[in-house]
Amino acid sequence: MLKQPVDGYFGDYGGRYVPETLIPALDELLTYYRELQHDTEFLKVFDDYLSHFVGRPTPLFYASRMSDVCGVQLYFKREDLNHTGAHKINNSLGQALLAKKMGKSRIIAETGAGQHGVATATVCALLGLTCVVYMGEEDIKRQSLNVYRMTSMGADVRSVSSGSKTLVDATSAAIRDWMQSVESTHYIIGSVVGPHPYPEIVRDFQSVIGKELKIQCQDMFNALPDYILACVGGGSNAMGVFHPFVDDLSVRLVAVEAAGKDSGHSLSLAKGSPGVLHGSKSSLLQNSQGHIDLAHSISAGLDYPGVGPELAYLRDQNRLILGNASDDEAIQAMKWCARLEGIIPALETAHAIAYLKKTTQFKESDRIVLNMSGRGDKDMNTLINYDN
Amino acid sequence: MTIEAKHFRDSISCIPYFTYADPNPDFTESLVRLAFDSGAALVELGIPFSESLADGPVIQTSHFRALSNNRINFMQSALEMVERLSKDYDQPIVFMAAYNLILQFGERAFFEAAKKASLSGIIIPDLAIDHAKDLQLLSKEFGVQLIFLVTPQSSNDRIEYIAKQSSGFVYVVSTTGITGEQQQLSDSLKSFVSTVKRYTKTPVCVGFGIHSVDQIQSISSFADGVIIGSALVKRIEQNILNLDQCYESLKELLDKFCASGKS
Repeated sequence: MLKQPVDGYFGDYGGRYVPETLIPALDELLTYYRELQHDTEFLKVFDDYLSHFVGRPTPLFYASRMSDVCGVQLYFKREDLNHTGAHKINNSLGQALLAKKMGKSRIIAETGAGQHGVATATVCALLGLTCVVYMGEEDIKRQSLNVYRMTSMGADVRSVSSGSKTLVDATSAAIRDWMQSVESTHYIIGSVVGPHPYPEIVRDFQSVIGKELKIQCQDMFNALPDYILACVGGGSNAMGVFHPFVDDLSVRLVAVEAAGKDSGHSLSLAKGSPGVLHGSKSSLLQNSQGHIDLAHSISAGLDYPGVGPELAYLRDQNRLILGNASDDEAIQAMKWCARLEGIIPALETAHAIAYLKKTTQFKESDRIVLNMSGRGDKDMNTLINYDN
Repeated sequence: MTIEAKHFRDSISCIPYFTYADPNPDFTESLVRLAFDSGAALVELGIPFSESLADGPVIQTSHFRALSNNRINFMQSALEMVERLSKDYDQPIVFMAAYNLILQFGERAFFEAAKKASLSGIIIPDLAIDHAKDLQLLSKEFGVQLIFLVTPQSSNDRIEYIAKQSSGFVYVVSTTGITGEQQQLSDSLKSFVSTVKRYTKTPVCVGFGIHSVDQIQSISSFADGVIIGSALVKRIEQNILNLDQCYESLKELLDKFCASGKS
């Protein structure tokens, strides 16, 4: 009997708008996930790797100098301290373990800034899986450190030279690979985008961030935070930190997107309209005919014309405060954070820091948690070139 | 007009595919006319879209050519062309378009405009049948057929369901994945097509990867129609700098493919 999809939607957003070739693979993925998401053995294995390989739990750090300057009580959730330097590994690890359970021996992934590519190459080396990563030609240039990391771990990094040569094109290339390799291959999507069940699976694996945070807030100040700030490209670090707090309405959730520069931006939540891209209905930057716009951000990880469907839904429910920061503001914020707290954030994360720096909405008594989604080693070249 | 079994009466029913406006709308129109004059049973036109997931490099590139060379409303322009052609030709034309293009045009608006233009059918490769209920109702209301794809990976239950729902014809994908010439078609293609034919009387057409007369003849012995895309689009790419030469080259190819085995 053909089952009509009941889940897989967040309001009107989500779904699985993919060619028929991928439907059996998505059905299989959903079946395995439903079985394993509550399987204590699977969760224990995942947890053990998160502790001993990734280095979790990540600290919640009180940023005293920045708090003084901004006039708030600011905490960083240190996802930059994870093995490989960003939150991406939480998801790559979970999905790689899932893939092994499904008997897949080959993994493919798309990557923008390279952090998801690195995380995927890492877990493939750990678990003995073949790894192919698709990356836009532009992104390869601006994140070359990450390319070397991936190849040194045995991954095959394939350059995508079509379209804007960035994340959106790498995603399309990965999907096309999957269409031809679907029987032996699992596609580890790096963010809360793509066809159902990916937005749910990625969010769930990333939720370790928010779950830990809740306990840490309890321990540290015996309360929930007033605000949680996260940068949003596809939305995985945001959904990971937000998800356990979605029903706690006193916690305001701030999603910070890339305002880019005059020639382009990536404001999918602020300026997008409903459309279907890469398998799900979400909020997209597109023209009136439905052609996808060229997004822009100096940070490869935020440079994407779409966003996860669950975030589009939360926005429509007025659950989110939308913020943004330009290329310039992000670069300045990166330097500012480095000097004030001795933490060099990823350029993506720097957008959230830039928003914090410029906004006047916060009060002195506000406890703000900023999701430090990644560290900025990969962005040093960009920083140096920007100044010159 | 409605696609029916009669359109696949010939021993070989050839269905050429072109990307609309590759490299410009007038050239596409001339190719469609040429295709019908050469004996094509039906023509399929792809509406340009940059993220066409089901397409390999040749057809992807054709989408980019069309998008970068033209500043037009592709869907409107294509529909106008279909309306013009319907006055001169009886053979059906169908579109292949990404779901987002239909969504932005307006689902009802699209079916209404398609009917007015005498577009026979639409294939939406990223719309799995599970999400197609609304469009199926519109398809019935306006008489513009909604053609679904079936692939060998699907379960028999699902193949049966899709085969029974597809109107116009059932589009069998010959191989795993994306468009692009295949050296060898899968041996199981014949048995897959007969599986599909067990479930429905709707004509069954095979596409993806076909590029030789041998393949066309072989497939025509068990399927009702054969769709040829990348082989033609590649010829356009190879001759893109001289459209007259391009036209002649395609004429030769279309004669070879479409005229073989005409009754």
